Amino acid sequence: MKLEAKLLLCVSADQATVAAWRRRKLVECRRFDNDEPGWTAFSTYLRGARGLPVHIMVDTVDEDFRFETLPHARGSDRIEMIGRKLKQLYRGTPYYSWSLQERATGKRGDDRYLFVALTNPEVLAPWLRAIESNGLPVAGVYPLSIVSASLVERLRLKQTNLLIVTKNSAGFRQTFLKDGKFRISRLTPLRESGGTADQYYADEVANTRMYLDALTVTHVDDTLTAVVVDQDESLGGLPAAIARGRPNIRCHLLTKAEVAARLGISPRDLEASADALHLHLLGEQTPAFNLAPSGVTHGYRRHQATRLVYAASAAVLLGAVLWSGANAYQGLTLGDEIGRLQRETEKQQSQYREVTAQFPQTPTTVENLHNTVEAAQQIRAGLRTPETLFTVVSHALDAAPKVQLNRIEWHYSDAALELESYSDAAAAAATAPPAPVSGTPRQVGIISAEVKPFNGDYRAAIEIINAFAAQLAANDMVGEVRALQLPLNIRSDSGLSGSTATAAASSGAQFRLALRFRPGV
Amino acid sequence: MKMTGKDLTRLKFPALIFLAAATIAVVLVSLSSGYRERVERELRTQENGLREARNRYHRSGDEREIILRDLPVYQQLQQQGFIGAERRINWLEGLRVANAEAGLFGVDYQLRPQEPFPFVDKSNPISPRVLRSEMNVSMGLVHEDDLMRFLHALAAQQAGMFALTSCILERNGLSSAPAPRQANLTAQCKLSWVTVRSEEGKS
Repeated sequence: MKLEAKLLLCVSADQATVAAWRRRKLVECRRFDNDEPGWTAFSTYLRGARGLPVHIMVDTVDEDFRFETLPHARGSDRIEMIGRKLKQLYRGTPYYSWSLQERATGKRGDDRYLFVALTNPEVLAPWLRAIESNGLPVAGVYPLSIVSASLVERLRLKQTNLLIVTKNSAGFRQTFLKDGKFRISRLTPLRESGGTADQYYADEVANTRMYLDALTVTHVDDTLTAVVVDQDESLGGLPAAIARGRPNIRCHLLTKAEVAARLGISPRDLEASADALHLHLLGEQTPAFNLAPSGVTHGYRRHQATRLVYAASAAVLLGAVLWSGANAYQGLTLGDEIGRLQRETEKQQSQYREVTAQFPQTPTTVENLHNTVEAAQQIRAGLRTPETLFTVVSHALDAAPKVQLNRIEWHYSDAALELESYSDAAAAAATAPPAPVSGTPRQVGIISAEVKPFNGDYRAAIEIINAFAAQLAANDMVGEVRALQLPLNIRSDSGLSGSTATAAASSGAQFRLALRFRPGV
Repeated sequence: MKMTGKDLTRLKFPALIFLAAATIAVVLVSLSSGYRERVERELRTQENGLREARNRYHRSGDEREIILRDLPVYQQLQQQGFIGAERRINWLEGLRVANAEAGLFGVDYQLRPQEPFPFVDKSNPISPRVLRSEMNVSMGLVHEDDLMRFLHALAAQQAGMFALTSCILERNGLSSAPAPRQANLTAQCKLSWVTVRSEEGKS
């Protein structure tokens, strides 16, 4: 989101400096006095910046930096504990923040926190009112000293005891960092002191050094490196003034040209305002400490949510366009391939026509011709007549002179049908036998005959029938012979009645046999 | 972030934009996917067409052999009435001649409407076009051999291709010795006259 346009505002006790941040550059620094006309002018200015989120940097003496050691805690416990501590420390302001700095090495393993607060919220009030009335979202409120600290990273300063000295609209700012970590910051309001300004500022640096020694943050023998950032070329004499009589302070001066070169900020922007350097740093990187309470940044979160929805919309559209583009590209590529295949097909067809032009004329396609002939041959190969059945039965009758044939049925039907399915054929003599359904048909014969003469000796009659059936089955072409009906039903599951007096009647012992030929016969 | 009514109101327009974007995206993707799928189908069809054309060209030698081998048979089948519309008059004429040649006492017949013929290999592409008309014939016989004589005579007429599916031979009366010059037996047969329906505009 670094490329996101935003509005940068530096608020101090007497004034506010505002600049737009577009494409990683400050655009038009404007200064507004902290009075009614200034607020009105600021509000008018904001009308032209609708929709831009505002990042506010506060440069004031009403600030507090405090290190506290608290018991080690995690998660919601930590949040709760710190919340209590912040409320206890800063009752009069909602602008505070905290950061875990380090964990003590002792047994208890306590945590060391840095608490930062803007102790006088009134300094922000008129500016926030103007921002709110123009409906601009506030992204955050940051102390200028924390923004200053980002110079360590940007300028790659690695000194153990480092004092960054800048002169801004609000005053002379000294920010001390120990081992690259923020410790304290002091703002001294500017004073018109004519030619003695350098000495005045040097004394302030010396005071800071003494304060650090008093706090035992530094030792009196430690060397303090003071980096004087002279962005407006007003502190050229300060290094010499500091070094005079203070051997434990080493001083480096960063001239306007060096600042411009090393931070990538244009000299013209630096000339526009004394706060331009810090506004540029704020534009480049959003500090970790955001003092603004959630009530102030609510609009920004809504702004972010809106942007997120817009970004999601754009992403969805872009994805769809890319997907569609890929589809269209594939379609076009395949279209070319289709054209090539069509040409190749036409070529093959043309060659085929040339070759087949010399063939004899056919009444139909070659496939149809071949398939029709094949079907006819298959049907012909499957044609059967009752002749085989007649031959088989005739041979069997030759060996069984007492068997007299009454009726013979021949069916060329579905092989899947059971022979028992023909058992009612006597009753259905006038109607059709089971019709062929599908598959390879098989020949089936149903023989209705009688043993004649018959004198009532069922045992003898059944023996003759069995012999006749065995004779039929002996033929190699016959696969199966089954009795459908015998002269006497001796099965236990059916009733039986008759008379021995009528047994020797003139009628014979009637029976029915079914036989099925082997496949292929 | 806790959302208030004001927040929701402010988010209404972005949400509408998202909805519109999503709708456009869906339409775009579905249209373009449809286009691609259509082209892919066309490509597959074209590939199959080319494969078929190539195979056809490569098989042209086989085709020539098939034509030389099968064309005379095909023409013969056409003459016999196996291909094309049924020639029922020919069948009845065949029955009449076969009856006379077998010396029978007359043949009663009953012809049913045309239906698919089941005993043809389903893998043959023309199998759905192979049809039959079932005919029931009944006749009186002096001797069982008369039946076979009749069937052979009918086949010899070449009035069409027929497949016999059943025959029932029954003795008339109880006498075991057949009497000359009278119908001692009754025969009832079922046969299917098989034809192949022409392809539209072909055969």
